[in-house]
Amino acid sequence: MSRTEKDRNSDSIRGGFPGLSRQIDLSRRNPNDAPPWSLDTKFRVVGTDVPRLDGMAKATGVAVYPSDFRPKGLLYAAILRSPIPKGKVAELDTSKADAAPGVMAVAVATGKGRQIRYVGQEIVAVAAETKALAEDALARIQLVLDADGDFVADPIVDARKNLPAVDPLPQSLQEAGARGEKEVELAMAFETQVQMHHPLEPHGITAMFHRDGSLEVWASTQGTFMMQRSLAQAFRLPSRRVHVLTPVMGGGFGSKLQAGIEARLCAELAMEAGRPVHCFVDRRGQALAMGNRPSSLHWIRAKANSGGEIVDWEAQSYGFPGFAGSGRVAYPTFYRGVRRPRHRDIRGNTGAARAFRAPGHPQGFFAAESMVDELACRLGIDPLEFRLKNVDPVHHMQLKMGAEAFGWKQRFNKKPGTPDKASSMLRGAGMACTRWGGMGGARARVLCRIHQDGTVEVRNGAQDIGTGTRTVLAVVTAETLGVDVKRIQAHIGDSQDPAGPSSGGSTTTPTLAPAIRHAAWLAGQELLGRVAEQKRIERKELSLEGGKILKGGKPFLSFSQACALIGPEPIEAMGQRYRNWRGFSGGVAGCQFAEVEVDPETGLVQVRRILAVQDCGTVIDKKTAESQVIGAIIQGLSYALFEERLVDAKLGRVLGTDLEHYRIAGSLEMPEIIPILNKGCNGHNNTGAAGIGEPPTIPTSAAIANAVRNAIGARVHRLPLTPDRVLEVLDRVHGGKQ
Amino acid sequence: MKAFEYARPQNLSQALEQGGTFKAGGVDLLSRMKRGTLSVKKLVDISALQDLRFAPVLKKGELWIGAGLPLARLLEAGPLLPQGIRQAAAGTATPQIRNQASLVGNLLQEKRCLYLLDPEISCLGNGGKGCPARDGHHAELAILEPSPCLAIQASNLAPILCALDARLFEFQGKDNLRSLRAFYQDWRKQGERPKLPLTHSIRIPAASLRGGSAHHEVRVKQSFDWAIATAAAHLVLDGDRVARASLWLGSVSDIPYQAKKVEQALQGKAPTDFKKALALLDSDFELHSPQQDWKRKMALLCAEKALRKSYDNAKEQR
Ligand SMILES: Cc1cc2nc3c(=O)[nH]c(=O)nc-3n(C[C@H](O)[C@H](O)[C@H](O)COP(=O)(O)OP(=O)(O)OC[C@H]3O[C@@H](n4cnc5c(N)ncnc54)[C@H](O)[C@@H]3O)c2cc1C
Ligand code: SF4
Repeated sequence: MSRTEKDRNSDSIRGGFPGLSRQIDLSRRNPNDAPPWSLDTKFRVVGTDVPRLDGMAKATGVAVYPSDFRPKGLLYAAILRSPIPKGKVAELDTSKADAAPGVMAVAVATGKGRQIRYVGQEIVAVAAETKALAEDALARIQLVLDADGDFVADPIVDARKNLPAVDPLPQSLQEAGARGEKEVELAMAFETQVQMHHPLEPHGITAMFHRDGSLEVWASTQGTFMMQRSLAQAFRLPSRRVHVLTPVMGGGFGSKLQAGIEARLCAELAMEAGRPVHCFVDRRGQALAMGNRPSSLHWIRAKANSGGEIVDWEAQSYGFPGFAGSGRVAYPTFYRGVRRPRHRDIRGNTGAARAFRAPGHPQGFFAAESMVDELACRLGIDPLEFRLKNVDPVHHMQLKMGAEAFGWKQRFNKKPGTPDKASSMLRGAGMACTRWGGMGGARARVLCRIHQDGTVEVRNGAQDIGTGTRTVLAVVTAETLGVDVKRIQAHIGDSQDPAGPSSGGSTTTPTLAPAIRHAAWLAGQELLGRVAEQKRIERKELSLEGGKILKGGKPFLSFSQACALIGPEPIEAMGQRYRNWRGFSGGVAGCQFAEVEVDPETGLVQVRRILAVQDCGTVIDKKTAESQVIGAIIQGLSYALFEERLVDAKLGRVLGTDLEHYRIAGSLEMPEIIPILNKGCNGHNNTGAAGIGEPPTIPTSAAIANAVRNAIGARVHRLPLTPDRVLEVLDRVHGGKQ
Repeated sequence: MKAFEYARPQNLSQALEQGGTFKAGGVDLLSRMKRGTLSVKKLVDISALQDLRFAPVLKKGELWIGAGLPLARLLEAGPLLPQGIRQAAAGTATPQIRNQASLVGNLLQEKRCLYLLDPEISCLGNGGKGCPARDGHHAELAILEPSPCLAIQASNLAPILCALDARLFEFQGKDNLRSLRAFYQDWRKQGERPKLPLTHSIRIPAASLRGGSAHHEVRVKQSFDWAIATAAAHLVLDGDRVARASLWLGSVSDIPYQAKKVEQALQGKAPTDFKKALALLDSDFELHSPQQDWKRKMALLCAEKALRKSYDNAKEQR
């Protein structure tokens, strides 16, 4: 390495935001890495609106999803699920199903003597010539269950009774308002519901064993390599003998981070039948067994002084993850004074919780941000001012920026509980903050090839769960080489390509982007080498800038001209994902503002607009990043107002397992959504990119709840904010005279 | 879904020859088949029959509407369509559903209860015993004239068409003009939906085309969902006073509910007295538990709004 390059490595770059930046020490940077982007980098493609590369194929139905894939000789699987919430398999005889018409294989998931822990637990899977024949065969399975009546399907009911004491609920607007006291101490309870995982494409794979004994799988998964490892382990194959393909997939919010039992059963059936098997769970199976965001209960006691500082905070939380999984919650501890809750999980006989877009965060933030807001309301301080006093510098900057853009001053209702004269609606505004890690850093490699015809191929085997992975590959490559995005052919979702991360924790882009940049940068360096060789000039005279080859700083060759010199063998470079160095901050921050209208006659909440300020380090593609913010807000709104898994406690059964009856926000529920990307550079890797998939769904429900509080003059302590709950509070504080 | 036979007759005579279950838009039928709560031997798809898809026309002083007309097309009808029908059709779900759903299919949709969706639950609602909803979730179930099974009829069009005393015109049988009100009564009495031959149209008698009508509804979610409560009113005025009143509620009972006491109390009254008359409705609610209190309030609200809107409409019509 030359001296000058070494010097550059021990240098520093500017990270953070315009107006809130600092120098970042690069001494821990790997000397082989590509030079890092910083806050001062001028981009050509990065940060612009690049339409999703596969958007057209997806929108027009051309894209082949894993559940669409139909290889020759395909069989279809159906799964028999437990009809009881607790007990044991006493007898299981599948011989009649085996002999049923069209049935080619049977695989047992829960055999004789094994425990049943929830309604929906997989017992047997059958593969047959058609889905209908497979379903018919299930009816022939002789299953005797030893039911245990001692189950708990809804443990939150008892937990509610055992919470520490809370303040009496205000019976009038006056009681709910500020009482001119110097300091305020409150003890309150909050509650959140179970939200179901309902990706458009349900969980599943299509599996086939080839003659050589290797396994090929088309998987709707959030981790192609995770799926590869899991199946390899289950079938005692070396990883390289399991080939996972996920060219596109129909969404995942955390539940597809594991190779579920349906994947293992599918491969088992394929092995037994010696034919490909399609095993995708139906909507009911999806609702019962594919995970959820667990419900939670919170008790918080907090105190704020006359100066508007939070001076005391004590909290106890409970999570209800079902028979397994975690119900842990996270609180916004970036507020001065806010502390983590003591936590306990209480299990029950329903399907297990799984990671769900920012696990634990919307639950905890709803409770804690409600409490923070209530302290402000009772002190009679504007919730914006109150937050500004208690928050860290990045949130401080974002809150000011968001409040200005949102028009907080005009929209915040100074007389909560009084209807708007013109519309007779109750209007209000609320806010909440968010924070998330999302710095990425798992091992990843990216292959970049530059071809003689001037096209550039980039490859990584990771999947795209909707965040735009393919587009990120193209944008970072195009920027690094200085060429047009159209030149780039990006390939993803194939475990035979270089390793990439699972898409969880908002880490896909921050993990891959630096490896893509490294690969493209190496390939560009090699291109210069080839040019020097061919033109018999000194390598160090050449540089690559803005898609042109410069000689002694002057234009020398176009990119295409340079590529023409490569020869038939393409340039091939393998980029690495080096470890993070200490960037501007260890996470991303944001805040959201909501405006709502509440109908005093019905209690119905209509969200009018939501404005989000969100940081994600360097914005790679503005369009897909904004889409993430918008989608996260939609999901957060749906959680705030509608989604709620209903369980019949006596039967131990989930009710309304289809999409017609599980309420999810639709087109008519959509507010105006304004995403403001707080552009900056986190500077912890060579691109400065950080994650964005999860953080913007964290504060939405709290912001809406706080807006409802501002509209109606008192607080609803429980999600979702259904009209009956809102009307109950209205009737209480208005003496039924609304 | 279980395998079934399928026929798609191209004209009426073919259709009338076929025996089987008629499928119009299939919105109700197919989702039950997919869920496994209904199995059908033979499906006769009548959606190609243009004879059933005609837009509202005046014939012999009556208003005739094709049984198979999609709700979205109903909305395209001109001013001859009573306002109440328009409002009820416009409120139904979301455009995708309205494009698919037929008028008679809407009236014939199955009763609703979350427990009824689960093929593994056996209860009164599907021929079994007991009602688990009573100990569980019943916030959205029957609150007026509750039967042992609390499942509700949630058709948007049913209350207004009952209020307008509509008839179903069928192709077969001697007495092929059937009162919609009587049809629902029979449904209640028999405990299951009376078998209907192929229905041609809905006919609204001339008397119901006088005066004004309105529909009002409240729903938790505006897109892709059913209403919590609906009400439809038809008022004929004499000066500023009510000469004849008809008030029907939907989503509150196993069949559309006629608020007879309110109707009688409104006779000869001015609109200032609506609240008083509605108190009579309030005393008729039979809540199974406080879970249903919001629904009760919404039913009252719908009734009041429907009356006021139909009163205004009646005044405009003069
Ligand atoms: C998400 C969602 C939301 C909805 N929201 C609402 C709502 O807000 N309000 C509302 O009212 N409805 C709502 N619905 C229900 C929907 O409107 C009905 O399912 C639909 O109108 C049924 O009409 P169809 O033509 O599809 O009937 P089909 O499903 O085809 O048929 C229903 C029944 O009617 C019979 N039938 C149909 N036509 C004839 C005929 N000409 N002669 C004899 N028998 C016939 C069929 O045999 C069948 O038994 C909703 C449905 C969904 C999925
Ligand atoms: S109301 Fe009761 S009896 Fe009727 S369908 Fe529902 S659970 Fe069954």
